[in-house]
Amino acid sequence: MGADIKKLRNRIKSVDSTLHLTKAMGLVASSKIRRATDSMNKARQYERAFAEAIEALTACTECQKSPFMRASEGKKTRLIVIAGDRGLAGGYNANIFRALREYGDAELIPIGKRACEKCGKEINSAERFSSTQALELARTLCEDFKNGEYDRLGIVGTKYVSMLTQEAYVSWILPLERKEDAPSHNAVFEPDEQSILNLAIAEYISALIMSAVRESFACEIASRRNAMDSAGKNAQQMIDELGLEYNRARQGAITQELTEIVAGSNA
Amino acid sequence: MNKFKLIISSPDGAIFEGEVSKITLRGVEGELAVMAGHIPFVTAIKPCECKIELDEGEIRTATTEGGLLTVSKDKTALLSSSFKFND
Repeated sequence: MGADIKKLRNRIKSVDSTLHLTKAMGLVASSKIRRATDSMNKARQYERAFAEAIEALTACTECQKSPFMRASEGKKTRLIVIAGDRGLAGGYNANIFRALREYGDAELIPIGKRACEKCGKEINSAERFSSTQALELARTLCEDFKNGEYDRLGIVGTKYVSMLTQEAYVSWILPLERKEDAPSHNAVFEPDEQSILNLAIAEYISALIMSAVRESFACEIASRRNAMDSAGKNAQQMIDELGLEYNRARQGAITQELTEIVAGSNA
Repeated sequence: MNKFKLIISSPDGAIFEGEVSKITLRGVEGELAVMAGHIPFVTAIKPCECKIELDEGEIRTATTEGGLLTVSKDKTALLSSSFKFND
């Protein structure tokens, strides 16, 4: 009986330390979430403003000749994969890699430690990904696309639906698609639409990358918070159950001792 | 001098938002300046030094590595991920 009580006590201790850990991680995530969603909204706003201008440009016939709008026959795909920096974020990283499974032969450009580890490339952080890095990446991507080194560029990221729901998605960036119903701009384009498009495209792609990275990071944090929340709840429930069992065992031992004493004095 | 609304934004949020009297930068076809009442106009910006004239001749300089400038009737917007004020 005594050994049983000791075992229970040790288990309660270990679950309790797990509870502390999940609580701490949940708190860290909660404190980061505000800033993460803020920067997500800013990057999104910038990307929308840019997208509007680009839509107006792609709508004009002149731009159909741009190398960035040419749809090619080839199937060489490049994918920018945005995953988290750390684990313990529920299904966050797993969902990204599941979405990736469909594109086994694509060339991957990872952002975030977990994605880099998976692809075996140089490690970079999704949390500290800067707009300079994004612009650099976008420039090389544009150059390679123009030279026909690949035919399709996509982003695999996570969409922030709400605090509780995040979804992995794949969206295509290049070649640019023409929006028929884009609002017509009666502005003057200098020198002409196509040159502006060709010059601004790198900035636009860097805006898309930034907004996807910031959004995915907000998702990572939100997802970690939820995971830690439910892990904490489970740990608490376990402690309660173990506590009950422990008390019962302890009480059992005392009762047994008492019966033994009473039986001894009666004899 | 008449003023117009200028918004400079980057992926990390708005860098500048306010009334200015003039902005000078380098477009695809050379130096250009935008003042109040400019016609609606779109151009790509090349790497350059940018001068923004606030009121009373106060000038702020900045550098950018490129971007997109859209002048519409009610405001002028500069979208650039590499815009930095020198001061």
